[in-house]
Amino acid sequence: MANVRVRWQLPTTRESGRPLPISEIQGVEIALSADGGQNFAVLDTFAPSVLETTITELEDGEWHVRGVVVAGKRSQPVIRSIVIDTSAPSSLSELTLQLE
Amino acid sequence: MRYLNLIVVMVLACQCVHAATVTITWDHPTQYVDGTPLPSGALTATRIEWGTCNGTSFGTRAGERIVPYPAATTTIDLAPGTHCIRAYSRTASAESSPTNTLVHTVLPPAPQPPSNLRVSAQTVYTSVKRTDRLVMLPVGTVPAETGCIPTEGVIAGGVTYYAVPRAAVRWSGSVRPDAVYAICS
Repeated sequence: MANVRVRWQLPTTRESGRPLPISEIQGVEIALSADGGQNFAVLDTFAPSVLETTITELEDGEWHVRGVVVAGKRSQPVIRSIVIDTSAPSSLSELTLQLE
Repeated sequence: MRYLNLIVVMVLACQCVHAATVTITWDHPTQYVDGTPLPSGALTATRIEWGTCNGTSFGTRAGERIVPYPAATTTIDLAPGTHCIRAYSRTASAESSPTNTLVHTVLPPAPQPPSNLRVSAQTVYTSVKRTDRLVMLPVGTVPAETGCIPTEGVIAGGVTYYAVPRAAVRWSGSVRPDAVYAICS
């Protein structure tokens, strides 16, 4: 198992290119997928003042995190993935014995 | 004789394979074709015939039934399809012209409902901890008939999830926890 810290930066413009004051942002929705990005479940929607969260005790495997900005309308999602591998290391590549 | 009034009044369920029982009724004539009264007892029977249709006209006869007077109703079994039906009044010495032709369509019976209806797969989940709550995330599926483990489970969002045998899981991704859960009824 491992903990994953998720960080983000808020946009300063809308898709149109016009400025987006932080006061117009309702929050950032962070969702998680454990099935290769097929299904996401929302973990939390964070206030604009929050710019990170930690997801704890994730099992080994590839996880996808999706972030959506909510400012009246929802932004296009940004999806990133991370692979957690806490499996045991491979065996010694060589172990030799010699009489002395 | 004046033409009979012929009516198909009802279609009943029939024990026959892919057939319907059609009930036909009619009114007997009261006059000869020249307008003179038809004495009581002059009529001997009514002949009902049915067959194919040529548009709205009678086509080729497929069957007939002689119904003794004074009966004014009979039933015939018809296969699904469009049928034309008409009737004649008979005296001891003559038969009338046919009635108007009835066009009657027998619809095939409805099929039986499907059997062995079942859910083909059931989603299984892993849990992720958040402050004061759990979030359930799909990780794969198990066959619908997979049994749940009633002594092991979690509650998330007010829903109880029970553990299911890990060996039965078909994984969707590379996250493959030791314990997975499903909504079991």
